[in-house]
Amino acid sequence: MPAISLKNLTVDYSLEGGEALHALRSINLDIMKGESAAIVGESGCGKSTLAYSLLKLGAANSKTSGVIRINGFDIKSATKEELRIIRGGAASMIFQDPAASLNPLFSVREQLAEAILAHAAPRPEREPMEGAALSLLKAAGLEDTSRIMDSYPHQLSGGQQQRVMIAIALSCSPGILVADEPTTALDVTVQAQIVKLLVKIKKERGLTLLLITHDLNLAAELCPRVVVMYAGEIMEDGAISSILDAIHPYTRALFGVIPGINSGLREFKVIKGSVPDLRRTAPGCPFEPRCSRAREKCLRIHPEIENGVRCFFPYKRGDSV
Amino acid sequence: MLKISGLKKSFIAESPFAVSKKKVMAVAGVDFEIPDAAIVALVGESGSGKTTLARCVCGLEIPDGGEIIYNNEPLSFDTKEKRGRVQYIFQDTFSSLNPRMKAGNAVAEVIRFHFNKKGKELDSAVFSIFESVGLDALTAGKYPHELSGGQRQRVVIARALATGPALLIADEPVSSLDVSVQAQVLNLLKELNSARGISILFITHDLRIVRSLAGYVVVMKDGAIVEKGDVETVFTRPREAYTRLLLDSLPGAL
Repeated sequence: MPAISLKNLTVDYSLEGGEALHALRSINLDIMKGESAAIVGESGCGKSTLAYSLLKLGAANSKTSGVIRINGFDIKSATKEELRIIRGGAASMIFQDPAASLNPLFSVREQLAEAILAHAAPRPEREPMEGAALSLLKAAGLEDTSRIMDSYPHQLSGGQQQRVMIAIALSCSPGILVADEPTTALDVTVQAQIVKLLVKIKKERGLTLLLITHDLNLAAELCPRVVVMYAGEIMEDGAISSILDAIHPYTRALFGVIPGINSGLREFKVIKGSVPDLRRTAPGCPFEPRCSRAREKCLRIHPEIENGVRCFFPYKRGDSV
Repeated sequence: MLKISGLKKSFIAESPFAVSKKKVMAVAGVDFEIPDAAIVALVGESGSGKTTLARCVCGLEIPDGGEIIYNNEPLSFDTKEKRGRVQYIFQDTFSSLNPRMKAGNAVAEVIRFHFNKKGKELDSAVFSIFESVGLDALTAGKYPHELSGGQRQRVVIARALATGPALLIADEPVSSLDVSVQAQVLNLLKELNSARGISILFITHDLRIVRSLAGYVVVMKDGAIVEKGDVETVFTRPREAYTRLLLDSLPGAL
């Protein structure tokens, strides 16, 4: 049974003036228990909407159809009380900006306790909870845990804050961890530490990890499976660890824009054009206007996903051209 | 040529409950040069003092010691013309632009103030600057929230160009942008540098950008320079362990 299963997941945001923004368009995705998968794409391609939908955290103006199952359990029809236990207990989430995720008015102790009391079933006793909280902070790679317990978010560095968020996310021993751009707001050296920590925690606890990122290098390094999204659809889904593994032109273009440290370029590579307006739906492939391999067919017919790629004219795996 | 020598800046960390005041050395005696028409990258982690240093260079902070020499004279900001020579581009484009001011007006205000242009002359000056950063006339009539992140950063760059600067300080100008948009803004900065000879002090913690952008790199840690030199040398043969650590921390570098 997959840990996360999405069938025809469609999310529309209703906008002022009666228009609708089609953020997710019939997403089908199964992520097995213990698997690490990354969802990659530019801003506005729907990756965060997907992460939020998993735990029914969608905005008030969103309309969701299709099936979302976490460990086989239907999230869409879950009651408030069931969601309380699923969130944190079955799957929990860490967000991009730890400073914005933590409440500035409460100490780390209070925020850890709040998470445990809100989501754990049955509700634990106070005494053992303290010890559990300390060991969670330790598991998140924090030293001097008793001082950190009594600290307020502003007394911690960005890296420490993100480690506290990870401790809170792990507090109810979830099987699934969803990390939405967990390192984007951090310094490079701290980023590397947090990535190492995620890898370690994943291994130790046998977690299912869903990483949301726009950094294709990070995704390829951390997750064996990479799911590339564009305009609310999955464009490519497979084992991608370098540009040569990718066969969709969009995935290759995304790899191409990342400048390398090993050689200088005269000019930074760009993907021409910009992401499409999600209020409209083109009859053909959504990437067609920006694609270097597009032909007449791409303009007319919307490609279906086949063997992990949504493209009529993909590259050959391993080919450099 | 801009020459910085022995530059120091400290802050007093005050807290309403603290008994003693703590002095924080943000920049502790820094020497380096920005040659004419060069791009110099200033790299380091948060808290390494790179932003304080940059703020000293553009007159937003008054250094405690050391000097900044520009074309053989101490850099000063006592006249409009002198202030126009160094312009600053910030990371957060939203807070850099007035939400109630249309993009075109944000740029026009600067040209009006610095060059006393009015009417048709002002309009055409605004449009030619917009054109040079790759924005069309339509964008000039839009408010910041109607623009994408990349477009907003172009407007901020256009406003910086409006004074005719010799040096642009770009403080993490692409950190909040998507990778694909980052490349567009970086190419624009490169083009401004090569076509107009504007020097750029580029602050970043992403060394991947530095390799293809800058000619020189200065690595800072705890207010001091750890390593400096031309990009090729520092990247291929870093002398300091800290530089090595920064290079190894990048995803895809392992």
